[in-house]
This record gives sequence, C-alpha cells and structure tokens, in this order.
Amino acid sequence: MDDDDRLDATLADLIDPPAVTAADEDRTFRQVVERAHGRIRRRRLVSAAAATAILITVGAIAVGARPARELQVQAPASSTLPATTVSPSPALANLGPCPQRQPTTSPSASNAGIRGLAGKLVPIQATNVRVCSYFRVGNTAELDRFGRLTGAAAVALEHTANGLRLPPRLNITRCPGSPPFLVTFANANRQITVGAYCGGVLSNGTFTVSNSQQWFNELDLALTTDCHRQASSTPNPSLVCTPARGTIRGTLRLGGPTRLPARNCPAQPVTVRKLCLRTGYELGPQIPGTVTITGTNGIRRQATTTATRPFSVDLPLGIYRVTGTRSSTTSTSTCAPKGPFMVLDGSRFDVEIVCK
Amino acid sequence: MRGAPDGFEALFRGEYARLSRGLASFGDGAEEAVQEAFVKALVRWSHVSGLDDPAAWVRLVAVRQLLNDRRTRSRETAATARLGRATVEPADAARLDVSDAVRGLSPQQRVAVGLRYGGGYPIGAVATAMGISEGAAKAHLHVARERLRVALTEDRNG
Repeated sequence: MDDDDRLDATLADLIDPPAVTAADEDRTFRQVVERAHGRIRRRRLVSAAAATAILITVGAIAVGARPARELQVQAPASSTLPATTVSPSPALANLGPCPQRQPTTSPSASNAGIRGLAGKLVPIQATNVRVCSYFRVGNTAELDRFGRLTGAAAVALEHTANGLRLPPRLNITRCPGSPPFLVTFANANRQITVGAYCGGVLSNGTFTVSNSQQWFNELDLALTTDCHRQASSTPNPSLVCTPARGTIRGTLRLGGPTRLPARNCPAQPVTVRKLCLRTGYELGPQIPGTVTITGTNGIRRQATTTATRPFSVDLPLGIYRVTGTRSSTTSTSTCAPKGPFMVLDGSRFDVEIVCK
Repeated sequence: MRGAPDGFEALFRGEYARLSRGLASFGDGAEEAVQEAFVKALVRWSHVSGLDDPAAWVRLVAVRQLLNDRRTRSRETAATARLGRATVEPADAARLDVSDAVRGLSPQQRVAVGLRYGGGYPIGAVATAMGISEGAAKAHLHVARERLRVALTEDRNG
C-alpha cells in the first residue's frame, strides 16, 4: 500500500458522515412525495384565466412594437384559452418539436446562407418562435422545457432580441443553473436559430450580443405560457408548470422635489465654474392611502396601506402599473404612478409611491 | 398521501442515504438540496425515468442546487454554529481535524471529497454529479487530498 492509498484509506475512515437512519429515510421519502404532489396539484390549479392573462400580456408587449390593430385580443374567457386574430403561419408546423437532445450543430451552420446575420441577431420578420431549453446530464443535454410563440408575441421576442447589443466590455456571468436555450425564429420562408449561452451571450453564429435579464424573462414567459397551454389542453400529470405568481408590495410616502441646499450658499457672490443640480424626490414618512394596480391583462386590484403597514398584492404574470391615492381628512390627492412592472413567477417588486 | 411511481421509490431508497452522506459536510443545505433533487425527479418522472441513469440525474441536480444556492453560505454558517453546540461533533480528535480541514476546502473540492470518501462513489459518478469531466474531478480530488494531507500532518505534528 503506497502513501496515496494510505491517505485514501485514512480519509475514507475519517470522513464518515452520520448514518441516515431508516426512520429518517422514511420520513424524508414521505416529505419528498408530498412536496412533489403539491407542486403537481398547484400546476393543475392554475386556471385558464391565468393562461389568458399570460397570453394577453405577451401580446400586449408587442402592441408597443407594432400598431395596435395588428393584435386584437378577445375578452378573457373563464374556461378557455384566449384566441387572437393572429393566425398561425405555415412555418409553425415546419419548425416541428424541439430535438430531444441538444443538437451539436452550431447556429452558424444551421443559419448558413441567410443574409444580414452580420448586422442583426434576427434579420427576418419572425411570425413564430420556438424555444428549446436543455438541461445538461453528464455529457449530453436533454430537452428540459419548450415553448412556442406566435404572432405578436413572437414579434415582441424578436424585437427584444434585436435590441440587444454587445457592450464594449463584456461582463461574462456565471449561470451554471441556467440551461442553454436554442431559440428558433421563423416565418413562412426562413428560419434562424439563436443560441443563448450561459456565458451571457446570444449568438446567431455570426453576430453576438450580450443577453439581458429581460431576454431571459421573455424566454421564461414563453416557456411558461406554452406549459399552461399544454396543461389546459391535455391534462398530463407529468407536465409541471410552475404556478406563476408574483408580488408587488410597497408603501405610499410623502415626498416632493428635492430643493437646492440654500443654507449652503456662500454669503458673497462667487464665480460659478460648475453648476450641480440635485434632482429627484426626497422621501418623507409613510402615509395611509389606497393603491390601485392595473395590468395590461385587464386585472385590477386595490389595496390599502397605512402609516405603518405596507401593501402587498399577489398577482398572476403580467405587466402592471401602480397608482396611489393619499387619504387625508382634508383632501385626496393622486400620487405619482409607478411602473410598468413585469411580474414573473416568483418575482417581487418593492415600490415606493411618492405623494405630494 | 398518494404513492410514488414504481421506479421512484427504488431510486430513492438506493440513492438518498448515500448522496446525503456524500454532501453532509455542507450541513443543512445539503439535506435540502438532496430533497429538492428528489422532488424535481418525481415531478418530472416521465422524463427522468426514461434516462439511462436517473440516479446520475438526481446527483447532478442535487450538486447544482447545492453549489448554486447563494444561501448555502449562510446555512453553512448556521450549521457550523450548531455544530459548535456539539450535536453532531465527530467522535474523536482526528475526525474533528479532518472535518475542519474539509470545511476549509473550496465548494467544488468539498463536493468531490464528500462524494468520493463520504458517499463512496466512483470517480466517474463524482464527475457526472459535478457536471465536469473525470479529469477535472480527479484534479479537484488531487488538490483536496494534498490540502487534507498537509492539514492532517500539521495537526499530528503540532
């Protein structure tokens, strides 16, 4: 036995964690099963209305990018998915399902022959987007989640992608927990695959940009949206859509424009070389009032807040604005609106509404 | 309580204790990471059960969960504080020395050492669980062993 073997034997002997008892194992097994079933139950309880909100939200993002008449969203139905007048393109069928294993072909190979790749991430007018998310197991990456966007939602995602730029100094972020995404943009004639890599970049193989949280948020929205669509059309116990809820919470605060520090002015005239202005608001104490949260998905919630208790509103995915009204014995005044906030699953916004 | 699919219980019984022991040096965070990995496995059972090695998937998810969780550090601190109250203290001085030495390793080295010596996994399984190549896993182990060797030698001499 050589020195290394002796060290191995010593370490194996000394690194001897406490044994897991059979009772502990049974208890943990029950907890694991309960937790898993709880997640599956929550997924099933997500109503079609939530899916409606998500789809309308995604559509609403696109309204800013295209004339409003291009997207006519029907009123939310209580038990059915929303329908839009955006008709699916034939290319949607051409995209097909995501490959079960991550393709080894690079975007530069799959996008070969498409013009404009050097100057723009997605140089086509996409009508459909397919998002494939892969999870690495050992040396292979298996399909983990997938989603599809059509019409206005696809346009919105493309718009965001084409708005991304490569900063002069790329700040590579570690994201070992985030799976790589392959996003395919398509219209009736062409398709382009963009890789979203954990190093913090998006690339079509020729043109590379730095991705952003907004980009990942929209991808996540696409995946969640499709998950809910599948869940409501074909109940499948193995399909898990995270219950998509987020929170906006905060306070009403008394405040007003910042004043220049007059007391610090010199007594005698001086030569001014630089003029520095302070801008913004100075926040005063917390005050009572009512906040109204309005979503582009049609959801409207009201909450009250006091001088000591903040408001907190649990919301489905969507884009929201928050307005406040100050309660006063003499008058009521509307406070400066805040937002928009893109509420995603698990997200929480802390908002301070400033009232005069 | 509803039951679990056939293969899941077998997977759990075969893997849970060993994986928990392998990651035990991370304290409470390890227990949570291991549980969470099994919860994810059950939730995605239709996918996981079709893999060549579902246990490898669970180990990988558990290790990623553990290493990615930013709260690991605070949990570890809390766990260390509890260890200070002598609930899980190693039985003898040598074990105490090696526990201290292991806690001084980098997270990756601790995972490698824990899975190899605490869980008794072969080097290939350690590498798969860490999502790295066998060569990289061996490198982590090598560095860790050298540091542990120095620490143990110093303790014995000092």
